[in-house]
Amino acid sequence: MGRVSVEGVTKAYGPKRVLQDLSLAVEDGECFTLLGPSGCGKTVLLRLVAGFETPDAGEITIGGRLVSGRGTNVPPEARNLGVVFQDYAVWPHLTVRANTAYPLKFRADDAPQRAAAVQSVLDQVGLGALGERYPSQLSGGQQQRVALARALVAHPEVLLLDEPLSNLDANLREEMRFEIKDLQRHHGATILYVTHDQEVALALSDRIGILDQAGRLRQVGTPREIFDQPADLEVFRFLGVTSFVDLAFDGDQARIAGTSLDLRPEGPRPNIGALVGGFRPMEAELVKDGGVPGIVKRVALLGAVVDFRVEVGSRELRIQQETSEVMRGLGLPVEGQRCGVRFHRLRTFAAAALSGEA
Amino acid sequence: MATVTLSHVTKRFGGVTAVRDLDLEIRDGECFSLLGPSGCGKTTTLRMLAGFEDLDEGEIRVGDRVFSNSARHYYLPPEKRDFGMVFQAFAVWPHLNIFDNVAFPLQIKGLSQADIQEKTRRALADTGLLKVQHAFPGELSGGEKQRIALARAIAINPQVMLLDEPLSNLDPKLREEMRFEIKDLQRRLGFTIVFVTHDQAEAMAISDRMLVMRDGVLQQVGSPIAIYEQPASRFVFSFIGLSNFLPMEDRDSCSYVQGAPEAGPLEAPRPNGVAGPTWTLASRPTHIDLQAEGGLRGTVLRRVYLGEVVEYRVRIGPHELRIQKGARDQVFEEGATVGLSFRQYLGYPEE
Amino acid sequence: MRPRRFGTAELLLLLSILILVVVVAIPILLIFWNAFVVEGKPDFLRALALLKEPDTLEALKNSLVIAGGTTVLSTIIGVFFAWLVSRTDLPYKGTMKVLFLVPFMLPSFIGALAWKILLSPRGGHINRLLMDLFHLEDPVFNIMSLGGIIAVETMYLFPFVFIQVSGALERMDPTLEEAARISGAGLFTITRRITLPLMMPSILAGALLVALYSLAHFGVPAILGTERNIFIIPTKIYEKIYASGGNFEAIRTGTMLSSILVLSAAAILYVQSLVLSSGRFQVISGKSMRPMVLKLRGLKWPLLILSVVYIAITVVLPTVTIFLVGTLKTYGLAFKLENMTLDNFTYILFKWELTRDAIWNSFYLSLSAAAVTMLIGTLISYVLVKTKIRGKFLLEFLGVLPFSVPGTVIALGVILMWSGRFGVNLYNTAWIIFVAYIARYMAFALKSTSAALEQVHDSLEEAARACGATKWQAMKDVVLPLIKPGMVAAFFLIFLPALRELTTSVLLYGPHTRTIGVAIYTLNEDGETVYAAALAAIALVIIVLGQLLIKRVTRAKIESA
Repeated sequence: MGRVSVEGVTKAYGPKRVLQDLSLAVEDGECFTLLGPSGCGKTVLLRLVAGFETPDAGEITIGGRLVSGRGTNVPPEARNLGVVFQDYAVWPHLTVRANTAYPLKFRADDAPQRAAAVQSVLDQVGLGALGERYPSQLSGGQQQRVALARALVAHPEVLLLDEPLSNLDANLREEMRFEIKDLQRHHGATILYVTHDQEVALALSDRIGILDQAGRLRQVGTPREIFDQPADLEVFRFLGVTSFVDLAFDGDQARIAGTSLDLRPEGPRPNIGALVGGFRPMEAELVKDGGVPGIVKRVALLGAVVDFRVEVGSRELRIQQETSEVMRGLGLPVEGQRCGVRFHRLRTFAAAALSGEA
Repeated sequence: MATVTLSHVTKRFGGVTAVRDLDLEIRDGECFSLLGPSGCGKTTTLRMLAGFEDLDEGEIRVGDRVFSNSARHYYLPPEKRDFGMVFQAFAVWPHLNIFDNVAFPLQIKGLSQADIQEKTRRALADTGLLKVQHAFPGELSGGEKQRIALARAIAINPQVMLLDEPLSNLDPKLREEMRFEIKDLQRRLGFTIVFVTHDQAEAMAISDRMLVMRDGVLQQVGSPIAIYEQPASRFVFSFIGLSNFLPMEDRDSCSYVQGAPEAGPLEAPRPNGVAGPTWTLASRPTHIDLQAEGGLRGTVLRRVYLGEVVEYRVRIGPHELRIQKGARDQVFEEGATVGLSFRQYLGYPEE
Repeated sequence: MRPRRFGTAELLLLLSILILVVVVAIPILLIFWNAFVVEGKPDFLRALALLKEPDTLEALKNSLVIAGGTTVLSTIIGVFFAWLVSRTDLPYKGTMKVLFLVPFMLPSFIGALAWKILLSPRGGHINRLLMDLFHLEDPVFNIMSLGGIIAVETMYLFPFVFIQVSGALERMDPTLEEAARISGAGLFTITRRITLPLMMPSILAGALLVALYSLAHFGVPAILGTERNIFIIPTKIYEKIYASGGNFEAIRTGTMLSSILVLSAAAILYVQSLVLSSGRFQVISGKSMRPMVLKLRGLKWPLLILSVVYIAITVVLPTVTIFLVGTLKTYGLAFKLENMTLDNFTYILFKWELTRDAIWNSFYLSLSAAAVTMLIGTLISYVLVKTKIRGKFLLEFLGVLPFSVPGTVIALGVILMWSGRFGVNLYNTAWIIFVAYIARYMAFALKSTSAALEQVHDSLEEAARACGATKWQAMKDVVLPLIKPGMVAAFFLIFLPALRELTTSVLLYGPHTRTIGVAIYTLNEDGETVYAAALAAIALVIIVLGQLLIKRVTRAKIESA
């Protein structure tokens, strides 16, 4: 079966340690996304699993079979994988059909069987009628579909996807997201997906692993867990836009700039050092009366939402509200106007961690 | 006065009409955006303003001075228009250092050395480039290059500034920052901005007023909020943000979704200004509520978790709608039957 | 770190290094060795003394004058015409652009032959015509002079500058000029302060190519200079080697001069790489827009006429001359129909052993050298571009050598290496020319195959591996088909110049191993002007047909891609 397990893997290029003692397991049939900033080593991990690189230490097993480590190094062609690359990597000298049929060349199937398998997978990705085209005659989205079809045609246990959507425009990206999800449901393959695009990760994954710049795994969990209960400040800041306010506590009562709050901030509350409360733009709103006093520094209408920069104390906060809500409520404020901020949700972090990493 | 007036401006390339009979007044000191999909004629309009393109018909005036007039074949050459201009690909000169790039227009004007020094330094200071003035453009990032272009454009203290997609080669974060910087410069120096972009959010964020263009024809002019709240046509509605369109037909003084009478009648009044028994309902994904009972009945096709919002794709008969709810709202499973009610919507004649 | 074992990649690297060492590095080393080492000890004083001999000094001086003059003149003409066809509204710009490239494919020594026929002081047809017409005592032109050599070389070398500059002008982001206009600058100011400075790297790159070529060029100065005792380095080397009969001092002078050629070529290439690598001049944009065009107004037609006349004089006139002279029954007869015959051509093609052999020699040599060099080049490029192994820097260094070695030097190097000193004597056989061609054209093969390989992104190969292909299968199914156009291009890039080659083979030919170039040259030397012209005419026909064939092949490739 298609369980992928990575244990204690280390990889360095010269003096540069890219991955250190990394362990993770992708369960059979799961869509697992490795999310991290560029240069965090996520692509290296994918290449290690694919067999394009060999780990300096550690073991990798695919479907219970040891493929790297303990002196074993199974070459990529013998790992029974499908790989989709960021730049599509469809072969320009072969037709769509020939591209897709290539993996079957190395199987015992007879010709009619192969032809049927190719046609079926091309139909699934919506290229059934374009089999005789060359890649240069296709759009970027269609080329990526060819790459997907080629990766799926031999029914691999594991599908490795390396930022396959990042060269596509926003609309296509959204559409392809659905298609990948559907194809996975249909084929039941295990997916290891590598990206820096949090929206794709949240939308597509069963579970997400957050990798930091130093190649360490910060948190593994469902999209909701990762987004709602970030393990630490770095994970919180990595997902979406975040702002922070200085928090003071008087027993259980939280205060910002002397104003008492009517909500309980979440998270640990160590006794030493100052605390900050972190929130995302939609987790606060501007109000006419009450709330924590602030000054509207900037207003930008972005269409469905209005984007505010509000100064509270010495910090600038990003708050976003639905345009219609703003228009029905206090109307578009003028820059420089005083206002109140009401928070729906705050998470506590040590202020030292924030300034240390800012 | 730097009011820019375009009267009956038309431009053709071969058999294609790039801009058709455009009438427009850009007021002194405002930030005005030309918005539209690529090939809509917005860049051509800007290039006619700059003097790089002749007109096939019409006239362009700045204040009461004629800059282009097709009937008289009169065109003030670009170098005589005293505009500032910033290009998408920066167009900073790689063989000159930052100071010389910015000083170039002043040197051309034949100012005294002291004047050139002073004005260049001021432009560099305004754009935060004083520290890197001796560097060459090749050593700087995209954001800094665009700042050089800005500094060069403001050096002669122009009354009108033409910006041709100046932010689209920058990453999203920088784009936002530069947007604010441009606004700040305008506030300080008081020039009129003509801003070309295909990004609706950018246009709305930066403009006092804007226009939407399509296939060389003006669609709507107004403030961003007016255009967002009351799009003049279905095209403007769809171009200005995520949108859903449902074809409707009226029967027995109720409105039904075409092809899906089983979804039930629309439990809301028919919008004003729609004539005839069939019309199109337009609504934004954030303006639709989901509920278990009542409303227009539909089926949840997909639910996608996006962090702060959850996006649903809901099918009503042959139509698919996109609906966005807050992450803390009630959750509906894929395959469930739900009711839709429209908090805000508009009606357009059927196309 | 993992232990490294000796695998296929290492084997390929070793093989590549070995080939370059034998074919290029050792011959060059032998030249330096021969020049500076006497009886096992380095002796620079003696070497310098050789240089101080008057005829050597004179040759050095002439080389500098001719290379310098040709470079300056070619740059002026090349930049002017490039600007004319890409930045003005000159009528028939497209056609003119193609016409300006024609001199590129014509062998310059054939041009020199034509100009000698037309403008030699006493016998030149034009001179005689002018003298008759105006009853002059003395000839008007003397093509057999330093100035004449510079003029003829410029006719054939200015396209180097033209191509570089017109390409750069077309790829330049037009908003760079528009930004200057909106800043208040007029067209003249923009040209002076923006366009020309931005074109400087391309102008310089083109000029350096001209200098490099002119410095190492044999044909034109040999045909126009030798008779008048005007020598430059390559012709001096030729004279020394031929006059020597194995004389040690003469060979040493030859190797000394060769060393100077190699060093100056290396210096020129070094300057060029400096110019091109400075990132200050990144002016290319992806967005293609119509560039600004200068309206020539009243000058439009005069400038077109100037361009057409230039082409007529530099291309049409010499070509027609060659064909006409090639048909004369005897040289010196007037160009009248009764004095003309096609028999010369049949005689050369089918009857005369010397010319018949030359044609076949050139054909076989070019074909085999092109094929072999292309294959070796592909191998070396593959190791350079696609593998990551230690020791690659050695190959990178060796890979630069072929670019900086002039044809004369290669010839001398292979003479030193393959004349029996190391147990193999290829002298007076076609093999020695073959070996020299491989060294001489290796640079072309490396350039075009490595460019092709760089286009083949690693992920294309990896995708095949992930599909179940082994390394060799991936190579066969993906890499080779994708670089095939590059390999075909490399083949033709070698085949055509080799077909008309003179500089190298003139030092290496034996009684039965003349090439076309050598045959034309020696026929001319022997006063067989008519047969020289006839053979040149045949060579021109072959070259033009070959160029058309390339166009066909490469265009078909582009369409199928």
